[in-house]
Amino acid sequence: MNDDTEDDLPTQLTRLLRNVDGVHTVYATKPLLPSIVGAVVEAVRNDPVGMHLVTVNEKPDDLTIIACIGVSADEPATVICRRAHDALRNYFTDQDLTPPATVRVQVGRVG
Amino acid sequence: MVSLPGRDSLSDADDRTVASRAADGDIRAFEILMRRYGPLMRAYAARIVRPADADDVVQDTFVTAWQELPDLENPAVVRSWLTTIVTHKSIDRLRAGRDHESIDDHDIHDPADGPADVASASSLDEALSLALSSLPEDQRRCWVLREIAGYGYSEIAEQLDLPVTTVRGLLVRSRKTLVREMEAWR
Amino acid sequence: MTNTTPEPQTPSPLDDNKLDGFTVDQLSDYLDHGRHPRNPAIEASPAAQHALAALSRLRAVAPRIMKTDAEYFAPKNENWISRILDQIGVQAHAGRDIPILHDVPGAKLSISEGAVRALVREAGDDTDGLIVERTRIDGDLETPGSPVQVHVVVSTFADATDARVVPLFQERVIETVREHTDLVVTRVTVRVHDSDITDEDLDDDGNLAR
Repeated sequence: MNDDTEDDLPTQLTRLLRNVDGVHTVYATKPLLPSIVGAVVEAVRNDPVGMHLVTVNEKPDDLTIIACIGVSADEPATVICRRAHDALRNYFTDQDLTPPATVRVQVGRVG
Repeated sequence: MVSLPGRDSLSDADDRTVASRAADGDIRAFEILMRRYGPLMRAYAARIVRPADADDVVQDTFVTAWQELPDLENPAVVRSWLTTIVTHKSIDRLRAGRDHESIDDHDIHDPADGPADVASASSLDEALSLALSSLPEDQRRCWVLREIAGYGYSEIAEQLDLPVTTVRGLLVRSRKTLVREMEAWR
Repeated sequence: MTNTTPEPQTPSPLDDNKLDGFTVDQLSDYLDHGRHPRNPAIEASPAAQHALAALSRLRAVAPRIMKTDAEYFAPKNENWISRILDQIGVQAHAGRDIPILHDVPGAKLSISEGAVRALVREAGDDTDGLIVERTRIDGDLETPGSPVQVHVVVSTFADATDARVVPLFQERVIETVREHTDLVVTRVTVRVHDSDITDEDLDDDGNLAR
């Protein structure tokens, strides 16, 4: 993957999360196969390009980010989860973008 | 002494334990079940649907199994429970195929996909497996549903949309062929 | 195309001219009903007996045929497993959301109940002498600080002393849940299931023989 390409926001946030210490997987937050209720695809095995693992809900004055991660068991999951949250939020501050109203991060797997 | 399953040896545990774990949400345990019974389920499906469709049937079966495992009352019977799901999925597949496929397609049996030459068998089991392949597909389906899935005559008739008398006739012919093959090995 | 049924060369006990006037259909039904009620005519006919024996043998080898088949029809690679895993993912049994506290406005952090149950199972995997089968977490998981109880069903093996293994496991559960979540575990109940499995109870495939 090339960082120069104009990736959309969900793709950029997915990449950012993968680089957070202790995060080993970014899971999809929306079912990709509508036929399977509640299914969420683990993206590691798939080509992540064009797949929206992190969900961005954009309403006027109300931006919500939703992510689900798998974390390493070497540190407390709570610590890694907060770190992932902070990384997502910092992305907006660093880029001088309107910060999201809500950032949801769920740990779906430890270890 | 039984070696205790640690992180990497749950694969040695019995069906009840592995299926309980999978029902509890352990995807690793579910993977063990797939490895343990996937080939058998695929072989069984390939006896009912075309071998080319067997993969899809097995895939559907395990996706359904993952969703429904928490409701399985006795996890020790997971193997026969999986067989039941494969049977249903296979028959659904046959029905779906019947609506929009030409009948001719059904008879194409890809030799690369299964045994074909009875003469090359090196054991009784293999000879019978080959003989099963050589049966006309209606006979083969009836026999497999009766002997492997344990279906009754009327159930087979209903599932395959055939009169019960036809099912009886097909079973007689399949048994005659298989018994002849079996006796030749005695 | 596939109706290449071999020409009858070898004599078979099911040949029509060898059945003493009975039919294969009739004999199969008789066998299906466990030879009951007893049919004296069938029981008195050596030919019918011969045919019944052959039909029984065929029924007995049926599972073995499927086993042999499994080798022929075995998936050629392991992609099929990852294809299925891709479809079911980790979230299918995610359960409730357990909050993770974070002092930032708009932060909604959580760990799934499914992830915590997996931690409990793994605590069992790390404990010699038992296997976790089922887990359940009771209590108000969604309110931080509320007391919760963990219930576990385990199997222990014959060489393990429950009195030693179980408390060790309970400690590990409390420890791992405390490390990775903000939950307050007040109790871990462990029910031991089949605590006397020995080698003799298992068949060659490692399944319970009974």
